[in-house]
Amino acid sequence: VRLVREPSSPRPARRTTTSSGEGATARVRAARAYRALQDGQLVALVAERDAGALDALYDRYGAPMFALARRILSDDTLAATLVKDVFLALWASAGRFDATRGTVGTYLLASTQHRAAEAVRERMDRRAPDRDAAGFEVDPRTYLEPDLRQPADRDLDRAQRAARIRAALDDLPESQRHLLGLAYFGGYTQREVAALVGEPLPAVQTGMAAAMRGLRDAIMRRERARPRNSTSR
Amino acid sequence: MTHADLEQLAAGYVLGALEPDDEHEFRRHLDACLLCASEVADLEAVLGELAFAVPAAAPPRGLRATLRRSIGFSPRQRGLLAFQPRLGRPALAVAGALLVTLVLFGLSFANMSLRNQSAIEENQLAELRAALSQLGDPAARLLRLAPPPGGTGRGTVAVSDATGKGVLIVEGLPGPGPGQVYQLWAVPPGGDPDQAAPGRVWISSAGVATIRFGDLPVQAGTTYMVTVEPRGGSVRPALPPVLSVTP
Repeated sequence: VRLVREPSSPRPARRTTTSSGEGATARVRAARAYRALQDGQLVALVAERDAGALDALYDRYGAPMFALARRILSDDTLAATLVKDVFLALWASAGRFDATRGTVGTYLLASTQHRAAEAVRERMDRRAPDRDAAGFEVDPRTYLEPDLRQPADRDLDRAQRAARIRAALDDLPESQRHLLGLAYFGGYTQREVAALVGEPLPAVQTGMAAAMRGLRDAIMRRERARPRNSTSR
Repeated sequence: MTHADLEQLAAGYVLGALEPDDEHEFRRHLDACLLCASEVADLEAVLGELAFAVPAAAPPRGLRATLRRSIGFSPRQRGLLAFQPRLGRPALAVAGALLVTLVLFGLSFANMSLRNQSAIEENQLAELRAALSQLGDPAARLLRLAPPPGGTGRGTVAVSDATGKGVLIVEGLPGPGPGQVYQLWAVPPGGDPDQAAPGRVWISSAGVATIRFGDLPVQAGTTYMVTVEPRGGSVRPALPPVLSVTP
């Protein structure tokens, strides 16, 4: 059983319905139809300038993209603008999207991370061009702690993916998790990370590679153990 | 750098954490190394999953509306699934006049119109769902067929690489005319319509029609078109098509 946030049901029919009521009902039906399509089908429709398909991808990935951008940028307004820009980039280039190189979900989330990391780098360069370890203001280990101001995720698919990746992160050695956090959430380059943690660059490169491979292997193990009736996009 | 050295850069490359000179060198290596290309594809998928480790945060209420405005989306416009034609300026003028007429006829008429639109949409969506179900492949590729300028009707082809099956869902064609039929064609990769493989024929233009492919090819790069042919169909298409895959 797949629990997703359903749009509010149309009001019970009255003897004389209003035009706005009819329109809302049609909109709900259309949204449900898009939701039945897979990511690859949606991106094909986006390539055909189908705005409803882009809207459906926003339903799927807008929240995790915003959450990620917000965590990296620590600024809601910048995060919202960044998410909008990533979707507009997809809208402009969906025809060139190569599904053999990865899913559209990966593309959207990776683009969000790259753009946010880039923005953080630019901001840090402006604020402290000669910064050293003392300029490191946020402990990346706190990035993964729950934000109690936000409601728990009610989308089961997202919640399952969150549980899976958090468990995979927990399996990593603390040092590898730390390196990954600095690059992924902090936007630091490997050379900057080496300076921050006081390790030689090759050790940082090896540690990050081991961390990413460790996550990949842990995800695959959990994916294989997933019940057969679970769905994935 | 050796291959082993470069392979260690894959994670940094995916994370966007390489210095410019390392990134340049890794990119050059990536173009020629299938092993590293595979590693990068794997790690990019991990990168996507990492985003879900971040606790949920609801986007601001206005973000969806801003995005919609940026691409010219209105709630009435639902793209393929609504099968609504994009309106040009003359058509908009006609639509405006029609709207005035609708107002004069009152809300009940408007409601009837919307109910009909809703019913048509439901039929199309039901056909699309049924087609995907018939193909036995919920991940089937979708291609949109559109008429030439001034033409009417729309179509959607759903093809499954996994099952080798395909269907055409077509709607809004005006009718082939006396003694004529519509015929589906598969245009081979390369796009020469004269080399198209002939598919099934049909006559009905009422509502939404679903045409199964039969033996028509479905391999990647194949496109599809619909022509009007003499009753019984043809072995070579009469061009130009009434529907073809949009570029």
